[in-house]
Amino acid sequence: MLKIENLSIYSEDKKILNNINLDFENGKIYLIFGPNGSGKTTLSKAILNDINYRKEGRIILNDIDITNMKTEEIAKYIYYSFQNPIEIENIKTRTILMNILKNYNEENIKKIGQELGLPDNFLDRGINHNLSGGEKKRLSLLLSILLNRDVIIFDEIDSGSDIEFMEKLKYYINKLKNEGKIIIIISHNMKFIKDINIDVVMILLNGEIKYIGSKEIINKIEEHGFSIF
Amino acid sequence: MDSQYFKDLFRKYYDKEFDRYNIIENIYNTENININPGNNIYINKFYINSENLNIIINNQNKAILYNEFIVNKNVNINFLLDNNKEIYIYNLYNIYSNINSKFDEKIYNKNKAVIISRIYIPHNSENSDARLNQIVYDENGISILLPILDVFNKKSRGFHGSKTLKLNNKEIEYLNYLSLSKEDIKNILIKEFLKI
Repeated sequence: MLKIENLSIYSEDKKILNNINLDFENGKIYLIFGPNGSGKTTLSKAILNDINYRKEGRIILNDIDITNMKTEEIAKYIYYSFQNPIEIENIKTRTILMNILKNYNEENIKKIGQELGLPDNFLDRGINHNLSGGEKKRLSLLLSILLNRDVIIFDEIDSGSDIEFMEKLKYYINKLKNEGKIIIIISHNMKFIKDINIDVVMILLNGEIKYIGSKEIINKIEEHGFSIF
Repeated sequence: MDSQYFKDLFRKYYDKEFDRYNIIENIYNTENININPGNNIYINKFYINSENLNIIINNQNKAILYNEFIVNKNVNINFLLDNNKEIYIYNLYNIYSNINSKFDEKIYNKNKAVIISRIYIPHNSENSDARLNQIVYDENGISILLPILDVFNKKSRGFHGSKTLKLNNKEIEYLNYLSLSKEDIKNILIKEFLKI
């Protein structure tokens, strides 16, 4: 279980996030939805303690206070899939995986990579290096499958993706949910959102949570916009 | 060759201390060579007998190395320097005719390294292609790389490229998100780098 208690983030005098209280239960899919600049990515980065701004409140994961843990420590429990993954030329993907996976099984990794549509030699390349935008998303999904973290945050993983990948994405998100993971999706893509079995929608507007509830709200927002809040 | 020769070769980087050094000459003709220099000046001549020539220099002393590679066959030379003290290296790649060869110099530097790497293709060496790539990973070290391309035959080509191995903040942040600390990243980089 992941709990966010009274979380506020301040940039000088301005509050970027205002008194956020959220509970995430295992085996559920959450959607954090809101317009650009509403604080969605800031919230994700705050969970991983990757914020240079002043922070108040607490973040608890499985009864452990992770609020001030180092990002690399939190990342042992939470996988954050970047909206725009960084390319690193100088370290091979294989080397990174061998260092972060408890059980490195190259055959299995290649098999899933192939199924997701990654190039045959992706392990021999630098991580994300010379991969197309779609291939980077595939690698992100592969990492979310292999890393076996308690919480997975998909930040716009669906943006610019093709139909084939979207199908795989839906399949694996459900699979990860069924394994008891907490899945947090950040997305603007209405079609993708409607296709996923989202359990809880959280609406974030100007750094404040305005709604926590069922997926029905998405239809209302589609019809009337965020002015309903 | 005497110490004056090396004084002219390294010019402002030459240390007076080297005047007292012994000059030691070696000839190598095997595929894998490990060198641990002492406080000396070394004149090393390398003959090519296979497709690859792997040289690992682990330096714990202040030394000068003059390395001449007789490239009369196609070869990939992998040159790895693990430098812990001051080292002054002159690598001369002497290219013959009809050669297509690649020279990778990797320098893991924790002290001071002055490296002059010269591709020399004389007038009578036709239709040759020689490529020198240098990668430096500096760990609180000073690396001075001075590449020289001397291509005297119009039908031959020489190429030089160099880069520094360093991760930027965005790359480190990305790896932190994969649960790797700065120390982990450094160790991985070095381990990867020290492979030949």
